[in-house]
Amino acid sequence: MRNHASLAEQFNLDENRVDWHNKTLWFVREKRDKQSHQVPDWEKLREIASKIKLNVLSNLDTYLMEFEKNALANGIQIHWAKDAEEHNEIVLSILKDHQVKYMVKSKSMLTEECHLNEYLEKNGIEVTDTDLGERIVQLAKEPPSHVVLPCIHKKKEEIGEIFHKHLNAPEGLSDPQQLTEIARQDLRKKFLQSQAALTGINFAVAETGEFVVCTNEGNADMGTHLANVHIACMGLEKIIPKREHLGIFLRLLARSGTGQSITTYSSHFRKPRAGQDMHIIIVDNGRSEHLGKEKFRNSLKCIRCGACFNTCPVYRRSGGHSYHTAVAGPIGSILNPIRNREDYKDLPFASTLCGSCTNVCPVKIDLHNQLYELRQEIIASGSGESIKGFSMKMMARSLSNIKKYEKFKRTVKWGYRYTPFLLKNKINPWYKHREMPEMPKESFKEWYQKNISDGK
Amino acid sequence: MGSREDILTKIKKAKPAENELPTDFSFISTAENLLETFVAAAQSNGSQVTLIEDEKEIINYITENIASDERIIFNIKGFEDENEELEDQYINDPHKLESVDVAVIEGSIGVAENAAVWITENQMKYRVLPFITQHLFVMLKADSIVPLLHDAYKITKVEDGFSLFISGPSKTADIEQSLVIGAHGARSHHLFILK
Amino acid sequence: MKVGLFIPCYIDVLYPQVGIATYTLLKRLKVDIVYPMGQTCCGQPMANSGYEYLACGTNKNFIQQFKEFDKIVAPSGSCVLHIKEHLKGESDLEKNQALHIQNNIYELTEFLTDVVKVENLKASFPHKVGFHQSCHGQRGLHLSGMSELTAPYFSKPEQLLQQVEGIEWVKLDKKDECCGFGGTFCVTEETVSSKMGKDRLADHEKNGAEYITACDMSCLMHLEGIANREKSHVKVIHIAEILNTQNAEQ
Repeated sequence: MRNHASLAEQFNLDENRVDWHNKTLWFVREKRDKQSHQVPDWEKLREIASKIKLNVLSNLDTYLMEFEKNALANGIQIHWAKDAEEHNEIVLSILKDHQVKYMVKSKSMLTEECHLNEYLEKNGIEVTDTDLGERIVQLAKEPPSHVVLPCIHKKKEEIGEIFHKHLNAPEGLSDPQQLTEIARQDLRKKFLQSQAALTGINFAVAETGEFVVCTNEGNADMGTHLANVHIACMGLEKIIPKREHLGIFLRLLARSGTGQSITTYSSHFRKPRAGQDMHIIIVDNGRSEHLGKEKFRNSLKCIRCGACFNTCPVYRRSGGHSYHTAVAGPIGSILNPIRNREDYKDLPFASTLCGSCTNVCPVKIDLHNQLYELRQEIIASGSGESIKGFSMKMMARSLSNIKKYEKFKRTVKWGYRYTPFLLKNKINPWYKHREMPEMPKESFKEWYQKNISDGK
Repeated sequence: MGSREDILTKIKKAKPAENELPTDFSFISTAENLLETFVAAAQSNGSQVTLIEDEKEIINYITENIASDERIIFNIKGFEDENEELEDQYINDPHKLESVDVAVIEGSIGVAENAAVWITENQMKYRVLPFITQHLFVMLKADSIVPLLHDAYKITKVEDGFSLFISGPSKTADIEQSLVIGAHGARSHHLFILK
Repeated sequence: MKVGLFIPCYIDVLYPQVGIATYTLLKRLKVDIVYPMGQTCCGQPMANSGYEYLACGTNKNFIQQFKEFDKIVAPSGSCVLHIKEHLKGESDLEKNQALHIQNNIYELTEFLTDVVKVENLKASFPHKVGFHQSCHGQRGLHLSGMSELTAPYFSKPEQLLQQVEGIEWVKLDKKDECCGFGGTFCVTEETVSSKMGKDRLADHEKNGAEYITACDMSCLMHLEGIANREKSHVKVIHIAEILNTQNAEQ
């Protein structure tokens, strides 16, 4: 079975790569710190963003209807999809209506979640991802390993090889500047040929019926402003009430995610271009159910900035693919098991609960608390490993009162003295990379009895 | 309409009790001088900045620095007539803009904290223009610079079908976090600030 | 003010010197401190693994042991945070007792700075020391400012260590990165846990620390295990042992 611990172990076979991955992402975390510390009321911004998002969750249905009404009035067509399957079918039917065989796509984690590319390819549509990082992982036939930096797990030499194989680039290229130029030339042709463009949505504004797409590369805009059909896909939690709220979220998004003061392009789409067809697909795919879970609904505030990935000491040392899902990292460890407990029950345990994710989150999701609570739910539902459950029960019994505890202590001490080989071997995971602590002659309690109290 | 009703009903059942919408959107700006802060932010975004006193200086700049065979689209209002050689015919198909080398556009609001400039559809004329052009020139009046993004949103109008903030040249850091200017959009971003 | 001393189970068994230093230090500072003999564990090992429901026995025992005290103090940020956030009583009476405990339990350094208000420790430790910020103490109990937040820096443990004569402070590259111990994480995710510990240790080594100190012995146990395996010269020492040094000399 795929689980985070074993996939992380594989990733760690190459320690130099782990160090490189860790360093690269920490660099982004440091950029984020630098940016956020330049905003004197950063914590107030986070607080207000969180409050707006909580207000959205309280009024999600009415805001969605308001958004729909305004978008329709602006000439945008609205579709609703209850799950990934319906979402994919809607995309395909729009493309079929326009006889589209070829589509460019900018980054959308939602379409990753829905496995849209595979579906469209099965149905004879060629899809090109146009965000550079997404394009690289698409050519490598891999899922993205990070929501904002999809190919952060790849070294430039490896990207050079991929471009050599797929884009006729000369062999042995590794200069990011040259590699980017090759992708630019290649994708420009795709942009110009494409009949349809699909984008994600960062923010959908109920008040105006417009939606905002943020990129640094300009790929979303290159696609949509050339193509005759624009399909924009949004998870239903992407709504915000008013345009003025964009001021809050756009100040937070790039600073938190990549350590920029704002993305290069923050595009506000309100009406289709003359002669263009514009569609929005509003997708549920488990979100309305998630909303009903009181302990976890807070995580629906997520704006997919990726800050929790960059700061997470576990993510940095295990790589995005160890989470075996499109949205990895701390937030993925919440969103995935909520939607599909059986396949992702390992993820809430892939954390030390250090709390750094909670501190960097621009919308104040209490990530580490939710991970703790999810652990309780997963175990309570019987999804834990039986051997761990047994040892936990034994431990809980031994610690429940002083007599059992003293007996337990004697057993441990005896084991330390007479059967050290049981502890100091490779089966004991602690011992694999760590020495065992030494066992002192006397416990604190024994010292206290002897020296302080009268031994009662 | 089945899924729509279904989804809305599920949300209605699941949503939490009312959480009030915050109303205090007052934030501190550290900018002592708006123009200086804007210019510093623009430069750190990878933009070139030239301070000008007259719109004509942009035309002079173009004449001096851009080769005559390069395709230029000049969208600054009030200059169309006297600069016919800079004006294209109106284009219906955006694909025909593929060969544009330089586009000159006016922006309406500048934000000091991040050097983002608000540009409306009316100002860019063609939506794809700021992206498909190899080099983008943006003219901005110095007195239209505001301290923070919030201040900009207070004055943006909801009237165009498409509008955006642009804060610099197209860029990417997707390969090992190395910053590369010139991903898919304009390779360079030149701001002309009219004093 | 009657103060109950809570010595976490693994300190009791494996690191008695930390308990002794804590007790001796508090006694020296004229705190009316008592160690309730029936105490066992706070229940965190089960709860953090998702077995909070198994912690009713430890909860009951903890409440029984500590309900009578005005304040409770422990040399472990992690165990204190667990009690603060997750101690649960069953009956109404127990619930009230649990609440009283939660409102009055302190990690050792915050007890010293906020309750005892120590200003002059007269301790001495002439060594180069790196301070490991344990996550639960720092981000959970707010013992010190956090690098992620935009707020003025403070640190309760540092405030105390500054009163220690001869101590030489080591500046770290990452001032508050997790060491990777994480309770059962240290065995269920052994690879990542060890790698995190190794990196933490390397930061202290690189910056010339002779000792790593912390408010949590669990982090130090993990770092010590790695240091010993890697044959590192760096030693670990709990902050209570440093703060209590003068006493040791007398």
